[in-house]
Amino acid sequence: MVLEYQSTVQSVVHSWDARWKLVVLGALIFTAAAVQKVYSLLLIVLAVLILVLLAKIPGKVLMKSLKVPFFFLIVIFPVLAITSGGERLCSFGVISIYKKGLITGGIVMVRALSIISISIIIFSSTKLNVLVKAMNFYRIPATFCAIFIFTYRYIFLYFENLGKLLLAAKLRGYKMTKGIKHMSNTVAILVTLLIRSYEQSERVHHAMQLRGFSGAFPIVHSFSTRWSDVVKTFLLFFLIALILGIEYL
Amino acid sequence: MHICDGILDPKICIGGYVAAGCLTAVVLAKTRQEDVPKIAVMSAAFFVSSLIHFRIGFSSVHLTFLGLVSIILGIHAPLAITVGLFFQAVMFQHGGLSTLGVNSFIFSTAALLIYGLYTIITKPVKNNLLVSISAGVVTVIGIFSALAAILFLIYFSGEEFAGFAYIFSVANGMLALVEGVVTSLAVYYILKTKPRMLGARHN
Repeated sequence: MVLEYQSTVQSVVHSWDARWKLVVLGALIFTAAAVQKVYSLLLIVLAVLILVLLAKIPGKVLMKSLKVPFFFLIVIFPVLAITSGGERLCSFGVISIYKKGLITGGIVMVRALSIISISIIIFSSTKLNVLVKAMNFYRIPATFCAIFIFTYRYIFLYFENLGKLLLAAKLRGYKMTKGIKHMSNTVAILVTLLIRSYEQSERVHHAMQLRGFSGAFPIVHSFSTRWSDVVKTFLLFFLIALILGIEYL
Repeated sequence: MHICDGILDPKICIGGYVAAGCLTAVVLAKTRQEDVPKIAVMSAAFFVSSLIHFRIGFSSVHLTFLGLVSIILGIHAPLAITVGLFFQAVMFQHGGLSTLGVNSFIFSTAALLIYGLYTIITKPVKNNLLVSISAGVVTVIGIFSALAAILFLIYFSGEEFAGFAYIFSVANGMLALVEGVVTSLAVYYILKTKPRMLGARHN
């Protein structure tokens, strides 16, 4: 889980005004989704590597976060290689390996891992309250921001309650991974968890209303744009323009 | 059952964000402050559901709770789905940020379809068992509709993805059936223990 990870670290990415950072890294994500050519892919990878180093994200953390998507993508790769059609590279009986599939698989993998790395850079270097403040700045409704904050809180509440329920069930001889025939028991545990969390959320909300909660979370954070933020943003926009130029001109 | 980063054309990704944004804005306009905790709880449930796996044969599938979220939240389901998908993308790298709009729009429309069908089918039904079975059936229909939309988009992102789309559909077709059974069981338990969660008419 990378959200807010290392948000207290001091780096040029952490100190970047979140309003600029979200816009320019968001644009970089869509640029990464668009690239097809080798030079633009290399530029994207280079930019991501530099940003990872600047954000001081430990290699182990990055690898751990990329592990799951990597295994999913590594499954896509051979599927594309043998099903894409086009120019044949070699054949093993009825199975043929196609050049187009290998190239597409490689592009998809580089694009996906770059986009995921950018999202890790954004959310590991930005505190949730700053993120919500930036959402407020971009006129995202207070109700949506409240749902966002409550959900983040309830995720951890769920994990806590789920841990307790599973421990209690385990002590009674239950194993969650035993198979489909145990689905009924598993669903009963999940529904219990859901109802408990639902009741708890209602109690918390009533308590908050009694204390004057009006639907919006006041956040003590004020944005300030420095020259270094403008320079960082300009440099990245320049890189995006360069990549798009290589790609479409 | 998400579309991951790197597969879709960026035009489709941006279109997905626009469509999901419009749908979210419409739903937000119909949301009251007292609905917020319920939506957030279901959003967290939607998020956590992706970590719950059932082993089937040599493979395992993870839940989405799409049916349950739709039936409990009704028209507010798109808000829970959007926020849940966002957290799945940034915390577990399920789905992706570039495809968040597309995934959100597909799941949200499927959720609204499930809720609409559930409301129509169960209106005259009083028996808890029949209501639960109906919930499971409409969930399967909803997930198959989402799957069809995902396949359509993957296929039209490039003909080289046709084989991948076929394998994706077989794996996730199984998920739809598991999800239907889980939703039936969950609705049955909820009707027995806290029917208020499923709306005023179940009180």
